[in-house]
Amino acid sequence: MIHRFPILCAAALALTVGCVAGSDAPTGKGKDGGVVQQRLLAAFRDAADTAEAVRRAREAGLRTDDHGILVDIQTQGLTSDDRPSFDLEGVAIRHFSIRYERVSASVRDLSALHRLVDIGVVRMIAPEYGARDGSGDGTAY
Amino acid sequence: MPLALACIAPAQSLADAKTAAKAGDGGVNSNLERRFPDRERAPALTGRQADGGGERAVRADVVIDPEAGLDRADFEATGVRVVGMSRRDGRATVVVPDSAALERLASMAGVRMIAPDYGYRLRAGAVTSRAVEALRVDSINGGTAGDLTGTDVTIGILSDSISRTDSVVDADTVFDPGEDGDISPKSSPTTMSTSGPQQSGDLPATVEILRDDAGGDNTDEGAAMAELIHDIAPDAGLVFHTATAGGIAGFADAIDALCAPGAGVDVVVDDIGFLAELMYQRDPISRAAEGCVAAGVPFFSAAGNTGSRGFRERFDDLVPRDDDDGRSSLFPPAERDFHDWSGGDPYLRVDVPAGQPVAAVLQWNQPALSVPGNRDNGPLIDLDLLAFSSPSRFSVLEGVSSYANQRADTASAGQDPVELVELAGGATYYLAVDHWAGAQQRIPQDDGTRLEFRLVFFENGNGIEIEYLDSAGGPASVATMYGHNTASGVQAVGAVPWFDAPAFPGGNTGPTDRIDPASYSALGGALERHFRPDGRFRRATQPPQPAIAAVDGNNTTFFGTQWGETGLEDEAGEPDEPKDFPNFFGTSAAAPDAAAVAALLLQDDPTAAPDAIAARLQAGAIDVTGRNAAIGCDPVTGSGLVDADAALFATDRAPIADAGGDQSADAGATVTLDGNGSADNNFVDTWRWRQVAGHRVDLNSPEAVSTDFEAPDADSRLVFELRVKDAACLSDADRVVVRTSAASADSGGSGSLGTSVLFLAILAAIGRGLRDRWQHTGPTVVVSTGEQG
Repeated sequence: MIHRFPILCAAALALTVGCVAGSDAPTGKGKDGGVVQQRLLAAFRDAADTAEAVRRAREAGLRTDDHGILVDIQTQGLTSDDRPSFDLEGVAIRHFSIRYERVSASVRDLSALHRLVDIGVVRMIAPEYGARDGSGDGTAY
Repeated sequence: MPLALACIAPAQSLADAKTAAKAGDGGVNSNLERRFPDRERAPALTGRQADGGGERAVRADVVIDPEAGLDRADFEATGVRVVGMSRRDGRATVVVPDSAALERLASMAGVRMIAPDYGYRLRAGAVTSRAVEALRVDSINGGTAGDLTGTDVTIGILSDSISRTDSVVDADTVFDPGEDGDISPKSSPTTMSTSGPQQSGDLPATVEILRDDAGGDNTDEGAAMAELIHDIAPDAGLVFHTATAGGIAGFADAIDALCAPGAGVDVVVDDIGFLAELMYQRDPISRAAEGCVAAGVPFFSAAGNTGSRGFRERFDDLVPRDDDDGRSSLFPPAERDFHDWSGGDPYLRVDVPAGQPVAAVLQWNQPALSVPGNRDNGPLIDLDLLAFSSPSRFSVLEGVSSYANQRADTASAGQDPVELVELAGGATYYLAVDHWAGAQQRIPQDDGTRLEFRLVFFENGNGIEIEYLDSAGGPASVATMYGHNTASGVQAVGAVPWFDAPAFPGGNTGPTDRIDPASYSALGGALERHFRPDGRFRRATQPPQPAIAAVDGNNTTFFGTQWGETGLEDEAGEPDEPKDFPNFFGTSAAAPDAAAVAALLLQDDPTAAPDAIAARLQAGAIDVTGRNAAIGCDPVTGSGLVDADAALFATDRAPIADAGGDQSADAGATVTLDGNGSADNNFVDTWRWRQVAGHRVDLNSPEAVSTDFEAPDADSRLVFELRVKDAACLSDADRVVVRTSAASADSGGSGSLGTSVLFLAILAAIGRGLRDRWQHTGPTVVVSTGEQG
């Protein structure tokens, strides 16, 4: 039995690895989010209020403003006709780009996020990671 | 105290004696003489008047006898510093440090007249930039070329803001349309006048603002950039548009707005980089910047301050045979799927001092669905960037770690291959790159390409220690530039501190006695993209960046660091540095200098296209070879430090690459790729061949003018790229296609077939109900028999 155990383990491991490698199982297993990026969901989920979600987002390096958490909404086939559909409770539009099929917005809560997901042209919502300028203080020279 | 006339008189000719009599003091203009009164009673001189040699140093315009044979050394022997000199025109511009030097200068044989330098920079306000000397802008004015001040040229500036702080806007500032003294967001066009920097002459009387409504903490860095431009090109018009109001698409739209036909903008400069700009695919900002250049507008962009603080690694799974693809739970993570940094070490230690947060951005070579045009080629591999408080998987910091679900169940969904963590100061972190799902060796889109990632650190101060970047034994640092400042045609600008420029020989404080770039100036090079806009694989080498360097650390009226707080006060050897104004450091400060010089070149030749402007700047650049720069083109400063004078007269042009004609080859044949058709108006300095598509082959001597390889035993369309560079770092690329055939026909593959054979084969295939795909190399005919038959 002692001798067989490693063999069984190895066989089981090989089977497991083989099954996993060869499977076509959904890869989001263990992860949330499809349209909405996981970290946005994590910031909003079970947050008592917008302030708590914003605090979490800041700790995670996501951008926020006075309204909520900044999001980068990527769409497909965005037209000017879609603009009213983004006027949702809890959503403040910052920029609407038809050419680049992208909308920048600030979102207050999870339900607002879900309302955005329901818009037909929306296919991905990611956090706004923000920008860096190229100024420095010279002390690193 | 007046100068001793006895010392001056012997040098004067009769004609000059008349001038001297009029001036009052034997050849020395009395206005100049008054610059050296009794020191106790003299007001402190600032800005332009104090350039170069002491708090009371002044620039002087010296008229000399062209026949006297004077050279720079003769002048410098008197204690003055020569800024520019033309024997033919009998003129020199010098910096006079004190009255004694002025006396010696005046007594020099061949000196006919000395007057204050009333150069154009007087119009650039109370605070002037030393870029004027460092980039040799002063040398092109007052000479035979006539003054170039940016007249009839308009520069568009993209930064955070320009009119949102009381450092710029005061109660007297007028906005038309708008309210006086208003620092609130401006979402529609207006003009700004009589702001603080405008009243002091450090900005043009009118600045046009298209949009200035970014949220968050605005610093009016755009106004500081504008001040630097105004010092070099005081007559150039300025237009501002915020780059940060609407995320990545907002930035791209801002570029489009400035570069639109009819916008009237001739040159664009920006200093913003979005962290989620893409490393392996052209993103919207790159697309907009390239479109701007294509529209004939030169585009300058700060190279960034990330130095060489980054990694580019092939993903090396710690236990490759044990791939836990898409675990059932996120945390604790499985260490066996982590990247091996070195010798079995899955954790990258990062020490972050208090108050100096760090952002780390991870991207890997997978396509992004955020690129317009990519509908159906989402990422097929998911990596995560995890943070831990100790080198143990159980210490994972869930709130800090970044673990987006990139790989979706359909190819038209998923998230961009970007992860980002922010590391707060005052702690030690351990970072791991975790392979969550998908292939872990070679990317699915091209079996010849390894899965790789880039990790770039955005630091916010000193003292941050990153394992292997600050210690030996692991991977070396690599390029940190990415995004639109690496786009084709864009001129990314690196930084050299002004006091390291040749014009300030006493100020060199870098690690070498050569010109040293700033340590934080981002490392670039000839970077690669791996995906087309539609998300399909295509390896392409981008033009080397940065293209050039300009100076930083210059004074502005309000923006930057006080000299005393930089730690450079003593070591820089420039005790005359005006202490009353902050110094603007970073590549953000270098880029506007380069853009301003481009404006001068455009004034000189309004028909010059962006590539011609680039060629002039690069061909005339002063080679920077100190610190991590190198002789010739290098990935820190490109062609080197901008030299406006040399650029004005440069005639160099970019080389033209010629990779030869397309070929066909049978298996085993030796295929030669010949780049001899490439040409340059001087000479081609380097050749670089690389394969960008098709069955992978090994190229012999890929950095020679010609290369060869053995044709594979496969039906394949091989694509190779040749990039040639000249000595000024100007480059061009060309591609060649080689079609190879397998040694024997194989009904399972694709090959070159005559049309009749093709259709016979199709009929046969349909009859058999095969699931194979047939292709030929003539007009595209693809039949998927499996689903249709």
